[in-house]
Amino acid sequence: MNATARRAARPSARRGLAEHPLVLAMLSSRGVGPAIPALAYLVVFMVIPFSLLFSFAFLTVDRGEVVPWSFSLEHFGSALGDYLFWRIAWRSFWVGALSTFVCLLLAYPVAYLYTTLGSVARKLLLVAVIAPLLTSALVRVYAWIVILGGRRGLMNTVLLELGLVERPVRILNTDWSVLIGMTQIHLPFMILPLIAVLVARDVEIENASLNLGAGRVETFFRVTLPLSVPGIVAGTALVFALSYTNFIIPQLLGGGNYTTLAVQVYEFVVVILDWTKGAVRASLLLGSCFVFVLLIVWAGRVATRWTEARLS
Amino acid sequence: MHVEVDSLDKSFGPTRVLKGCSLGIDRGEVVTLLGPSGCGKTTLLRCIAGFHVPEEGRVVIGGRDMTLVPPWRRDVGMIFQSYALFPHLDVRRNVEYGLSVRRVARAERDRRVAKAIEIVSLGGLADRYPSQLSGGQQQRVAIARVLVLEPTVLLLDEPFNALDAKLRYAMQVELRKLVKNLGITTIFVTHDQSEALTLSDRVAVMRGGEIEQVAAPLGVYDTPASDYVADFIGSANAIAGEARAGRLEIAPGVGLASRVEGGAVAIVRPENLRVEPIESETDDAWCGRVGFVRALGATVEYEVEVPGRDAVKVLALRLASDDVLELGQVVRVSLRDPDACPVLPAPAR
Ligand SMILES: Nc1ncnc2c1ncn2[C@@H]1O[C@H](COP(=O)(O)OP(=O)(O)OP(=O)(O)O)[C@@H](O)[C@H]1O
Ligand SMILES: [Mg+2]
Repeated sequence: MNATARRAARPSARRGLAEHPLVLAMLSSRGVGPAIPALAYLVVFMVIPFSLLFSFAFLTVDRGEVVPWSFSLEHFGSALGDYLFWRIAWRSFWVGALSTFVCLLLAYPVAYLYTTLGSVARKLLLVAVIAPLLTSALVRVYAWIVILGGRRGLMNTVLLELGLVERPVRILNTDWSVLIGMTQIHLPFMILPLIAVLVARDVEIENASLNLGAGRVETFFRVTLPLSVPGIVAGTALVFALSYTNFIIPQLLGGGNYTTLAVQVYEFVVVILDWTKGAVRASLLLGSCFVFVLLIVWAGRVATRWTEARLS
Repeated sequence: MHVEVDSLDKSFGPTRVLKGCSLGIDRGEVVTLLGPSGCGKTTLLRCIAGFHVPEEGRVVIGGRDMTLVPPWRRDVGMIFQSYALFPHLDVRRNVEYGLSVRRVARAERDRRVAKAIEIVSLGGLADRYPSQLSGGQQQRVAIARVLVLEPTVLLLDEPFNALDAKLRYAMQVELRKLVKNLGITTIFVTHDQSEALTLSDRVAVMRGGEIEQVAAPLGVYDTPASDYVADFIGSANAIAGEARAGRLEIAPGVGLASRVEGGAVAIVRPENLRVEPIESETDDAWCGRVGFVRALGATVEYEVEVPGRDAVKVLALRLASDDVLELGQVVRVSLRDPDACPVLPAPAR
């Protein structure tokens, strides 16, 4: 092959790769083509591991080895028939739901305040909201231990100094410390979607309400709040999913004995090495979480039916 | 309700938008605010509605000083430039909003809502959401939403912009009848002069945050307070000169009686001028060449270029048998009625 032929051949070889159907599909702007890399990532790192996890819940695993032909539903049956399991599941749920609700109550005023500020103050507030996300959640959990913990912890020192309590109070290793930690750590995930929806709102619509005789409070509940439901749904779904499935916070702030479903999964898989029981609880945790998120989204859809209405 | 706006000042940061703006509107009167974009029309309406608190001056409605009263206690209905309908409520609940805020009893509420929806002929659309309506329909919802409360004062900010010419005209007539029947004091912002002239009892011309002139529609046209108003309402030739001994010469041999001495400007409407073709230009008459012709059917507009002076606009009626003058034709310009030309002091520049 002479030099000219080689030069001619090289680009055509390159074009050959560029014209591979997979590459063309990825570059086309229609269909699932452009999503192929992301889909591949999800299949390898999510679908396959989840399927494995799910299948472990039906098999007996003995010292890290799957016992062949051991398929059975009894692992699920024994978990669902266990009173203790339901008590723990209920605790997971109400801790997650309550901290989500408190997050919503705390986040809404912050997000609303954001929309009333000038551009410099907005940037500062945004930094303040996002900054905690730059440190590890673990570090923040330890910080809460220092603040809440012990007779000489920051919290008790302040309360005693101010004379608000007579004896040191116990907050660490109770429901309270878990709720406080979860709320603080997940608050940004509630604030950000709310800011997004509130910033984009049309203030003239609120002016119309004022003009029609509604005061500021009434205008908020009749106009601003209903129109921000999409942000509430996004934040609520996000924070609930995070809180419901978190295991670090209950474990560290609840003391060693504070068990939620997520903590149990961790203990079965990492400490006790009973993968089957761990997989059963993980499957139930993820499945129920999915159902709850769907319920939140569905409730949001019902509350925002008007967004579906289009010129017909 | 009588509305009195007394030397309002309103600034946004360093820009002073309203500068001592004063305007009085009688009970049941319809007044139009006219003015170029950015002159402060919306800002003035918002001060009256209570969305802006002016730094100086007062807003008095029905004898009460309302300057500091919040918008929801003013009984002033406003129709917004963007309609600002509630997207999450259907037409009926949009219209019902103000009544429900006022806790009006169910039966009366339904009756009044039905009536308001009927007035704006939206009968079949009561269950639609705003996103399912056309621009004109949305606008009628905005009107019904305010009228259902029977406000004493109504403010409209360019409400007919989204409508086609025919619907626009119909809505103008409808609106005027409605507010006249209900005796609602109405302030109406528009860019459209013919809208201003047909719709209103009086026209207020705004300029840079001040009211330049308030007068009956034909009044602002016939006796403008300044060349600015003359130029803004209709079209005008503003011919400047030096007035001496009660006379202002606007062209060789053409003089106007003037009460102004010294620098003056004559407002000559194009329809007050006449052109006749002549052989050649002379120095002792008002002559020029046709520089531009716009034949519009019933009328023809000419622009006559006069050597050493501003070009003059001439509007001539035209019948099919009339010849339209050619470009470049030498013409003599003359006044039909010298008394119909206001002479104003030259603007200080
Ligand atoms: N909220 C605001 N902040 C800063 N500047 C403003 C604000 N509202 C209005 N302005 C400025 O005030 C001036 C007058 O605005 P306004 O909206 O009253 O004009 P307008 O006469 O209604 O104009 P248009 O005919 O275009 O609606 C404009 O220069 C505008 O940029
Ligand atoms: Mg405006």
